[in-house]
Amino acid sequence: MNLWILQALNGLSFGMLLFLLAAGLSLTFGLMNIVNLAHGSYYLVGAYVGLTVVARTGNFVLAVLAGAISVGILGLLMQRFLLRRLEDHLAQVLLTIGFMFILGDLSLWFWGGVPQVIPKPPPFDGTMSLGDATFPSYRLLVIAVGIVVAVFLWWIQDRTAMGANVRASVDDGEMAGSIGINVSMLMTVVFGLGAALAAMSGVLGGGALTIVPGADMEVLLLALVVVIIGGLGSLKGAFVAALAVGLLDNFGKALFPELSLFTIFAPMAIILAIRPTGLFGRA
Amino acid sequence: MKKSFLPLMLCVVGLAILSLLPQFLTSYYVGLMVLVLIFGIFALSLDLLLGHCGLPSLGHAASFGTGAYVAGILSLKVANNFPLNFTAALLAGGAIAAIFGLLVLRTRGIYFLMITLALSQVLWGLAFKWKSATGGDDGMPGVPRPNLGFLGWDLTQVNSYYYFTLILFVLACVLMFFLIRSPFGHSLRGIRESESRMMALGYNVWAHQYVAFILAGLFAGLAGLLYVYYNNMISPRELHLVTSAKVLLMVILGGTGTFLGPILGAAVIVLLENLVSGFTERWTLVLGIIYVVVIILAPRGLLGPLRGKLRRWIPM
Amino acid sequence: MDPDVAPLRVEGVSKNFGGLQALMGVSLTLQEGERRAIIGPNGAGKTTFFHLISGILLPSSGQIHLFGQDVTSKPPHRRAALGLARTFQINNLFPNLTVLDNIVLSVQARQKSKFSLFKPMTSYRHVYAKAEGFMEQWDLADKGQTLVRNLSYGDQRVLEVVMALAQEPKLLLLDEPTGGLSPAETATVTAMFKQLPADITVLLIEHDMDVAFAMADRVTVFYVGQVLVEGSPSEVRDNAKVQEIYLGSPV
Repeated sequence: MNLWILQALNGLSFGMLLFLLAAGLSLTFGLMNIVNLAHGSYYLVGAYVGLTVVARTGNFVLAVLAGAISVGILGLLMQRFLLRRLEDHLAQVLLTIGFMFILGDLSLWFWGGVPQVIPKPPPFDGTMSLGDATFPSYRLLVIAVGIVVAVFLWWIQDRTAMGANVRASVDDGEMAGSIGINVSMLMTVVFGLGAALAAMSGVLGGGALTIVPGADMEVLLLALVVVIIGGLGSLKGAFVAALAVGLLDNFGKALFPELSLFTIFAPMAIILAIRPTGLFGRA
Repeated sequence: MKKSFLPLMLCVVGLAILSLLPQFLTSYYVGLMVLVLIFGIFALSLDLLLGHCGLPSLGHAASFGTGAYVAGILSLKVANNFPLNFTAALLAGGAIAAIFGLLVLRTRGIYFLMITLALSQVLWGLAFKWKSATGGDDGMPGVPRPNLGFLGWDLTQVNSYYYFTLILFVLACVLMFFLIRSPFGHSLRGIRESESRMMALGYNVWAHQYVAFILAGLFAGLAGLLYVYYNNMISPRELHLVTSAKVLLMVILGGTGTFLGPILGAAVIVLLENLVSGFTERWTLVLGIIYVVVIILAPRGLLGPLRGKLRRWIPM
Repeated sequence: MDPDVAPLRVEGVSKNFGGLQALMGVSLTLQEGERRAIIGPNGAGKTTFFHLISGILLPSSGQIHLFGQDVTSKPPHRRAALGLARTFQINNLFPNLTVLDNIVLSVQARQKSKFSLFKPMTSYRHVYAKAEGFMEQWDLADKGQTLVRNLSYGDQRVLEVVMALAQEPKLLLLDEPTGGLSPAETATVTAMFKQLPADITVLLIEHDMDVAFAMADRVTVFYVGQVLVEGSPSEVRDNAKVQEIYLGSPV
């Protein structure tokens, strides 16, 4: 029984990382109708930046901030100067493929290909016990951060003027523009925010999972599966699906190590067959 | 309509040049040309979906890689029986398309792109992790060249393999050309332009797209088996997103729907990759830059400006 | 006439989108060869009604019969096979194909040859001959090789109707065929209309009331998703309720 709780907590913490990643993807689609395939790269670059900052300063919080801010700005610039030049949504998505390759290779060049891990910050570098099972307390930190961010995003979306503006722009961009909402700037900001969240996920993930070239595509796949299941454009969908995928992936790896991806594939296929736009997605 | 012999003559000249190349090139470059032909088939197959049907697949490596794995595994573990392995690999490429097609054709546009990517990557993950069956990330070396002893043909030499590939390339091109010139091909282009209008006219749009998806899978499976035989090695890379993205770039760089465009795009990318990899490890970076440059500056491809002229001979 | 083979029989059809009730309990039956116009203010549900008949949308309740067959849940291509053709309010053509290729696709839709995977399209001479015939008939012959996206709006609107006619339909739905046309172009389309074979049944949405009354045998007035009035053109024109919705108060 304790083993199940352990796996569940592992799955939940992984799910929170996926939520941070998928939230940005989902928001970007909701507002801009594109899927940013460089999202996994933001995760990886964020992780590497965090790694460097921790190595230099030993300060984990600084690492998270540095990762989030630097990648957030990167995303902002990419959107403002490159993506915005294209009208066609499909072309924009193809452009992000190029970014994915560029960022992935630059990371390899800069930081090398040796798998690395960010040292966990005290006091979260130890374990807690649940009955006779021990559990890394870092994972609880990740879960806590995930919940805080989820609440924060929900609060922005539902309770602030900016959130209202975003919702108005998603509903009807032209109308929103004509009542004075700067839709174009909103898009840039949301894109940057999504990138920052992905980077944050990278730094947090770097404490538990290895940072290595190829991780960008691995997390991209998982983030895509999350938004496919949860539905593009829905924060709630991203949250629910992220936790579900995190749990499924974890149990899958534990129970069927060689076929673990099937535990993710199956729900994705079922959703595609029954409700292609995802659980909470816009039709 | 006056029939011009110019296109036919150009094809004959082109074929003559391709046939004579091994006489003038070193074996290294002949090997590169083999890759050009293989990726030419692969790119043409994706163009059937993208250029003629308007379906942007970012998961076409699924059929390519499946063809490669089936041909490779059968040759290594069962027997080097070319007719059997060839047929099995081709059908496998088509079968994967048939299965994925049922799921992906419920979506369009960016959703379609995303879902083809995801499904194909899951397949990659399967090959990557399932060490006992596929060799995992190490792949499986030692795949022999097809045994054409019954024809008296030894394919272990690169020149022989080049001619073998050239024959299949020409066959694939001819079949593909007939396909895009046929009423079916015409209908695909109508679907690309307006699905709702085609439905209103009385066409079963889904059925057309499904058949196109499977046909594209068959051709990609062919390219995959030619690739694995050339490389003498199976690896999960053939199923990876990078492969899907590379072939997609080839089609766009050359010019979607132009028939010659994808082949040209394949040649450019294959040759560039080899050239660049010769003096730097940063090929992936270069690939990404090419992507960005092409999408922003030349989205209609190298043959884009010639579309008007090509339209006389190539349905697009 | 036997109601079971009426070209179109719509019974109690409703359509709601989430909270919005677009159509409520609409019934309409057409006789063979009839020319019926549907008029009504914007938002009355006219185009939604067309979408339900052609199969782009499925009704929330009610039934639709084409030539005696229940097509309520059938997809659009099956309805076209029964002899239905339609035009769209916003041009729905194939922009990157030539005018000739557009019409060829329409003609080919009813041919067995459309399933061919390998014989060249151009070898089916009878399909091209038919298409060229339609181009001749409707004055598009010199534009055959022009890409549709390079056609003038007026020519595109004409082609929009020709696409439907090339299907050789038994029931033709025209959605605001004169929309956005100059008086001269409107006259062309009205002339086209007069030349339609007498045995084709036509259902027409028209914004221009003069055109509607000139072209139709009977008129149905839609208002806020329901049928308000149905009758001959003069009956409808003199109807107080109709005048009220168009002019704001009884005349």
